[in-house]
Amino acid sequence: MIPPGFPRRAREGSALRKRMARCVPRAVVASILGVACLAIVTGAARAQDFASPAPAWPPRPATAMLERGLPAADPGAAIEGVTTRWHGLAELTTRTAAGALGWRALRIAAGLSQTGEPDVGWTALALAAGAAGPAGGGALRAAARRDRTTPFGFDARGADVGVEVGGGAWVEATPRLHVWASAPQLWTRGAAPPLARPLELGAALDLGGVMAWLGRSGVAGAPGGGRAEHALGLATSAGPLDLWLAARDQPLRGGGGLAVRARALRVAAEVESHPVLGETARMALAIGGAP
Amino acid sequence: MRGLLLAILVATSASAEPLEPPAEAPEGVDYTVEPADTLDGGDVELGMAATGRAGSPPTRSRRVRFNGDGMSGALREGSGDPLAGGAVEGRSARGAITVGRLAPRWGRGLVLGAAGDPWQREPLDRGARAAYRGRAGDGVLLRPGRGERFEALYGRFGRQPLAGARLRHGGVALGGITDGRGRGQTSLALARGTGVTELAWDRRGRWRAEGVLDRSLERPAAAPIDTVADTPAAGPRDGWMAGLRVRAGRGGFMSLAETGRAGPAQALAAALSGPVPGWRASLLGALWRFRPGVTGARASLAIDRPLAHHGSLALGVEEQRGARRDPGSSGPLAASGARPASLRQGAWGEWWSGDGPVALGLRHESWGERPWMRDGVRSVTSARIEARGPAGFQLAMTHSLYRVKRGESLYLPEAESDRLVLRALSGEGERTRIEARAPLGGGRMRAGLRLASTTESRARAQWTLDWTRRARIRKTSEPPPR
Repeated sequence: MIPPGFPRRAREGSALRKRMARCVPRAVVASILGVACLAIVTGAARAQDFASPAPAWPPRPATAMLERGLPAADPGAAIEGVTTRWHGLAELTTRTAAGALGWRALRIAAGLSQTGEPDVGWTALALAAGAAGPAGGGALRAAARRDRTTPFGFDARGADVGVEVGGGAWVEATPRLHVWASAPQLWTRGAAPPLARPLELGAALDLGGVMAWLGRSGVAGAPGGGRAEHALGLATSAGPLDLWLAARDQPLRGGGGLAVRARALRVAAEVESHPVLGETARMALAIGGAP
Repeated sequence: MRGLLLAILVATSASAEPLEPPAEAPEGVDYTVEPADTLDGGDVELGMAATGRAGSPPTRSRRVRFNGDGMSGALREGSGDPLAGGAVEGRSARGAITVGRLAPRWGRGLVLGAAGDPWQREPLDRGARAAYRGRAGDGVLLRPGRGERFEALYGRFGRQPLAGARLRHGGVALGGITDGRGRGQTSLALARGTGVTELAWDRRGRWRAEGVLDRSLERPAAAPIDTVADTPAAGPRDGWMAGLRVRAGRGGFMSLAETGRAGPAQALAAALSGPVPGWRASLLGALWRFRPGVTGARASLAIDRPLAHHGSLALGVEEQRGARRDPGSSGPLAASGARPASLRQGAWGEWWSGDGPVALGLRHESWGERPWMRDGVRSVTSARIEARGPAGFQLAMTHSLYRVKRGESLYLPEAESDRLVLRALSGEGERTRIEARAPLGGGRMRAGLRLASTTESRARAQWTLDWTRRARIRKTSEPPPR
């Protein structure tokens, strides 16, 4: 089922695959596994449980800190709920709730996420802590995953547990140039995570009304000899509307998103297409955070 | 990162040029070198360190350095420490004597002190002005009188006893070394202005000569007529400088003291560096030949730009061809670094945000074996984050992602509190270093955790604890040594 020469992490697989093999028909297992494997092989967006619909810059208060270890520059409290349908598969839907709190330079965030159906999915709990200011910020994040056996999934005795720890940081290279680095999986233990998260380097340039960003990420053991994936994006704002477009390579694909802000409320949606896997759609509702 | 950047800045003419171990270091093995920083007069420094990993007992090491009136030294002790040992130097009006680790250099290093690689202006760890303390041998070095007009040495160099002496007058120096078993080599060096020339020969008539000339292109150099420096001054850094190095000789000549660093018999290298608007550029071209059929060439362009708050941006490209080392007449030419016609093209970029509560550094380096860096053979991407907290607490994290093709060598510099380690990497993997520093017990404590994983194995952890305290034992009017 897993093609020869596939990366070790994918070959080892997560507890999800083992449980899927026991609980669901082989055809369903084959299709979902095939999609998941293909997603890694072809370099699907390397976002995971806490990704939210937003441009790569600036980082969202809760989700960016939990997902990439990038704290928001502005203090304050924020909560956000996100739902993601991966590649058009209802069986691979992620539901996320996250919250963040900032006081002076201190930033903390926590989040809970569930992916997939009760018998084939997993639950993730993440915590992050760091510091940030106008000139830069950094955070450490940790996430733990456990297979689901019931709808809420906290009582899965004997289920495999996986833990990952990582971090990220950003600085203002110039008042209009923001640079970041994120390594969400510096250390992993237990069940392998669904995706190998890469070291991501990026920069965003404020062009006055338009934000352009460029990112580069690569992961050891990826097919093609660790070759890097690049991302390019543009974002702009018009009143309460935020609009962004992004493109990635390997394979070439793109997407776009739209967010509407009304006071402290933010509603956002994003779609990313893939030439093989179909579309990934995200929707988010957030309260709080910087406008 | 500051330590790393400083090390790289000191070690190379181009600020972010990839570091390589010297020729005698075995390929694929970590190489450790000690920065040649000095203590102020009257200071003493104590250090203790322990390191370990899961499943093995920790190893401990200790070190002491001091610099008092008339005496200075550094001693290290520790099992498995490649820097174990030390040297003590005594100074008085009647001269100076050094006992212990020696790394002297005469002229261009053809006889004593290692001739530099053709693409390097000077070896990094030989001579009094080197960026790092090397170990060519262990013994005694005597410099009676003032002005360093005469020096004599005796010690073991490359597992054989050697004795030597050199006499200098003005810019001319004549010296010789012998192993006491009929083998000897003689050196005649001439230093004039910004140029140094050395001619060396042995008793069998084999010879080698090398000359170096550095010249400012901005205005005529006001060259002093008489100088005793083995290493000419580099000249003003804010103007355009040109340098030329020429080496010639017979292939059989090999330094008795530096058998691992004989270098090519013939070489020609030219360097040009100077400011361009907002940047500083460095160009280098070098050709060399060890012996018929074993040749090499290298060309590079590096530019760097200082940024605000001590930040910097550096970019470079380089092409290498042929052999970097001579495997010997019986060695396989296909060995790493000795391919007769191998091509390597590489590029690197490095950015450091500068000082601040949070600082970020990024670096990427990639090499290929076909033009335009296609068919990658080496690649490494690194990010470093430094955060400063209250009460002198500092936290730093470095993460590197690398890929090295079989048979290639890639070295990742890791600056530790008292040394620079060039980590030899192979295969595909990730390295993470987490360091925390804080004042403790009147000194400074550094705790480090290193995680290394490859595509074949999960992360292995190694920890390090290092405590250093520097104190002033008494006031002294003596200026710090060179």
